[in-house]
Amino acid sequence: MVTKEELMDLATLSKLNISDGETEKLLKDMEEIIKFADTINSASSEGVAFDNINELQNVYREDDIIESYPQSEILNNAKTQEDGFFCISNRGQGKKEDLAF
Amino acid sequence: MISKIQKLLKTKQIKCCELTEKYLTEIKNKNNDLTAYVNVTSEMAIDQAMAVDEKIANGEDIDALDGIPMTLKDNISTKDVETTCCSNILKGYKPIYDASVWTKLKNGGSVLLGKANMDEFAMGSSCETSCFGGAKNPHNYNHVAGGSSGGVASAVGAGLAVYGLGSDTGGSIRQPASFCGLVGLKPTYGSVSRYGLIAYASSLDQIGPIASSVEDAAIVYDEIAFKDSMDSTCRGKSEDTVSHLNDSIDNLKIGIAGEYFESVDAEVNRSIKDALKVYENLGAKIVDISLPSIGYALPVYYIIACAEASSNLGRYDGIRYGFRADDYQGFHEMICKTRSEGFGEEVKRRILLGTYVLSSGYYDAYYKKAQSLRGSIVYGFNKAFENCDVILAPTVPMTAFKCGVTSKDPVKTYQTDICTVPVNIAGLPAVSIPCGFGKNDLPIGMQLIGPKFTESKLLCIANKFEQATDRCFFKQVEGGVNL
Amino acid sequence: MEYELVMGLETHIELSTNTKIFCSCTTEFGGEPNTHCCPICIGLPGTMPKLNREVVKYAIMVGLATNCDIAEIAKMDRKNYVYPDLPKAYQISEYDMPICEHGHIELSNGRKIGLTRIHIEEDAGKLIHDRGQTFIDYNRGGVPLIEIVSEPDFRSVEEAIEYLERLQLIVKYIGVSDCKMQEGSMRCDVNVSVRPVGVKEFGIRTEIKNMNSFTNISRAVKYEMQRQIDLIENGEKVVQETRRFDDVLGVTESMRGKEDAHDYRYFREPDLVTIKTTKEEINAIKDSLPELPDKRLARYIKDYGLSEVDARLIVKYKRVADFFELSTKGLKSYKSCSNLILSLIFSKLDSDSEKEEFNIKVTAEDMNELLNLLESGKITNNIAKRALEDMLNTGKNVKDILSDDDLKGLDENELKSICDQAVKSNPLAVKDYLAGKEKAVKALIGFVMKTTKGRADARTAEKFIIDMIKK
Repeated sequence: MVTKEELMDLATLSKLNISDGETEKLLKDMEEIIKFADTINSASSEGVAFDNINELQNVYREDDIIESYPQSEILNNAKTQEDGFFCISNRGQGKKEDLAF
Repeated sequence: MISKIQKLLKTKQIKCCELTEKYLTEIKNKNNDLTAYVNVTSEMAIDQAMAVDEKIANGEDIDALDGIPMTLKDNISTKDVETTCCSNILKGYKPIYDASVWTKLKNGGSVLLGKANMDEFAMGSSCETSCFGGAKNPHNYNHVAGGSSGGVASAVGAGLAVYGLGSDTGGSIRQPASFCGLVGLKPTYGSVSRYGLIAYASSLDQIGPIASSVEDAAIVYDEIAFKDSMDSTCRGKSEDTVSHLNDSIDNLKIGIAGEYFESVDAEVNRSIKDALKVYENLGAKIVDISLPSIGYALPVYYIIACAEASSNLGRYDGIRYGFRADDYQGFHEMICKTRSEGFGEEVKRRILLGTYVLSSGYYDAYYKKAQSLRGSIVYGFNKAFENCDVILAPTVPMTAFKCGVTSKDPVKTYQTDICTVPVNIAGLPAVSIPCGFGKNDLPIGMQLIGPKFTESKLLCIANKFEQATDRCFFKQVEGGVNL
Repeated sequence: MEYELVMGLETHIELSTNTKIFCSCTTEFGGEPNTHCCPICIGLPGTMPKLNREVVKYAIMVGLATNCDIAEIAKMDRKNYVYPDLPKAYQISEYDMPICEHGHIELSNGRKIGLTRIHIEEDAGKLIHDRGQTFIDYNRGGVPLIEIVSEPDFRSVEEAIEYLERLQLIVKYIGVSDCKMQEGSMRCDVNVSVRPVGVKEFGIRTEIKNMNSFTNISRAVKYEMQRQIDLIENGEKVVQETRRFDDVLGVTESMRGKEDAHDYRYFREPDLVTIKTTKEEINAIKDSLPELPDKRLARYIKDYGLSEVDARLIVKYKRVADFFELSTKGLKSYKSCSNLILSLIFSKLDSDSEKEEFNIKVTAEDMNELLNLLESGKITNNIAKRALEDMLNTGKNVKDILSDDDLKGLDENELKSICDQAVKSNPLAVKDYLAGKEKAVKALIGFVMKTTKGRADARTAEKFIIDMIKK
């Protein structure tokens, strides 16, 4: 069963915040979903080696340059950009001791 | 429908612009109630229609889908046209490239009416996880159109598009097609390019048509199934399907697996049994087969799909496109807040489950085990096809859900996918066609499943049923464009 | 107590293919930010990777050159972690079925350093942190890398540096990367642990990430080794963790933070297909490999009679060695050639990188011509030196530099008669010589050289002169 700590670890790995309000419902949902996933363990089959659904080999591209996209198009959908870079600036009044910077 | 419109266009009995305007007017009238479309591309549609009219006026030949007004599920990338997967996290995102299928159709003169509603990132069975609200069933607005390609089915079923392209990861084409009384084809994995399809579960996703006749589905499939260098896993179709629609089905052996009928509503059961009689009258032989591996198909599906989804959806971090949270210090907090605010509940649940089954310590018990059971399911189907040509099964155990019920119990909702997911797990083609009506006049669908790359045979067999029953299970809804 | 270093290396090398590993954008270094990008390498939703054929070939070449087994079946996997420089939130890499395994590189002390594996993967973009903002450039994102993982076989920093130099040279010889540490096309993660001498079990290791120079590797490892020894001596425990080297302070520091808690959740990349390589294909690649540095070194010493020191100096730089090969084509004057390169040419190239670049005004064809004249006795060593000096400065070819006089050569009789002249016209010097001042003969030789404008061979002249005086 999933503990609260495990759920928080999963959230960290998934880069999701879970608020205190959400925790209980999510724990219950996860518990039920995992119970459901656990039913594979009741399968009588040992399983059969499974390689890859597409069953293809050696699909390659040749090493020929195609012109890249214009910088403006690459940056087109970004919320913020500066001097050709994607850019993240601090916003709002959050805590100051962030590790990332 | 498609060949009829083609004839009208070619013989200049109707102009593509007029036809497109008709559809746009109907969309205006009905979409507020249906929410089939989440973005109507009127201007672009008219431009494309005008180009087709000019072509015809100049006496040029037109392609099979030239000038046909259609729709695309909102997870198929369209250059300069907002593509959101019906998620807040992609609101405002305008791709800078076209999906390969859309490149082909656009160059062929297709008229895109707009982008169709869907469950957020194709995760859902009712279209109700859409951030725009769910698409309604054209046969009864109190019921859902199904999911995840609910918008496409709603639009085609209501006569707001001739056909549409959806995507099927665990039934997302066939289930809404079944709910809305339409034909939905989930092609063989690797026969239609996925390039530009915003991934949910890459080893299961396939693009395919939802249409209002088997012939239409075949025409569309022939256009979209081609080898594409942009998708390394794609090799195109084995042969044209349209030219085989009227092949003989002598000596046809239809397999029936009891496992498919275990939790099926009585009215659905009855319709399928009636359909079998139709085939028997056409000379087919019905053989009993066994597919015990279907018993664990559902958890296998959810484990694999969620694992891949947790990886595919990692990229939505607010940096390069889409939504970004407002209040943060540092990129770590920015990413977490963006994802927490941008994703809906069901998507977050699946990301967490996917992360869980792949994490060290649980990988062997879930992901690895699911992979080997995937092998068993593939093997099971291969064995079954030694004794029959196709398998006939219900598409969904029931008719369309009432609006609002699926959000209450996620696991119970997952269980309604029992009949559709095995095909995705094994990478097989399957076509869902209407075969009856249940209570409240809601359509019932059945699916024909074949070995890999047998689309032409499947569509031929489906077509025989449509002809033999004189299209009596296709019900025109009120309004919509009639020709 | 005495401690022993146990060290392993993970070396990332950027391959010099024309295009990125999964899209057709250029791999060129630098450029305006985000101008070597396309929907695939910035990970736009819906895009899919397309594997570059050359990347697989290059990796196999390195594998063969380092004695690896080449996998007949390999596959690509996703390594999942969220970071702004990784646009898909996963790196496409190889997890449990890498393209090459079980290789080794032999060091000069005879020890064989095991290579666990070589796999292919994609590089990440570049982050710049500045005044509370983060700027991202994805030009480097998707540039092909090979990661070469060694066994923990190093027992000294010197061994590690020699290994890296050898690896670097091999890769340069087969031409699949320029291996420039300063440009980041070669980077290392270093695993370090210590154990008391004589103990078999490994200690707990730390990993120092992203080292970009040999000097820093040496400094970091020495610091980290001492830090671990101090911990153990004080009864504390070494924590298994990732550390970074601060090259200003000269210390390693922990990189642990909540968001560095990694669980990569590897699984097979569903968007790519199986990589299958046949024995025939592997053999064909093997046959196409150029001569490797070790083999070339042995040939120079054994077949060409160069001293080991000279041979090493030439082999150390691929371009120099290639120049040497072409210059001596069809000739036997290997020693003369190596002498001219190591004395004259190298005196013009100060730094290591200048020698590496080997940007000189003399072509190998010209050098070959010059050596040909020398070997056939048409010119003397002196003239050859003078001519080469001139060629290096002006870029002119041999013919334009050598005068008719230079090329005239000097037969024995002519030389004897000039020596005779020297002895006769310098009685004082002869007297001095006979009085025991051996140096006095230099003046006589000088006379001969002056008269012959350097065409005479000084040693032969000396011999003639002494013979004449003693007579």
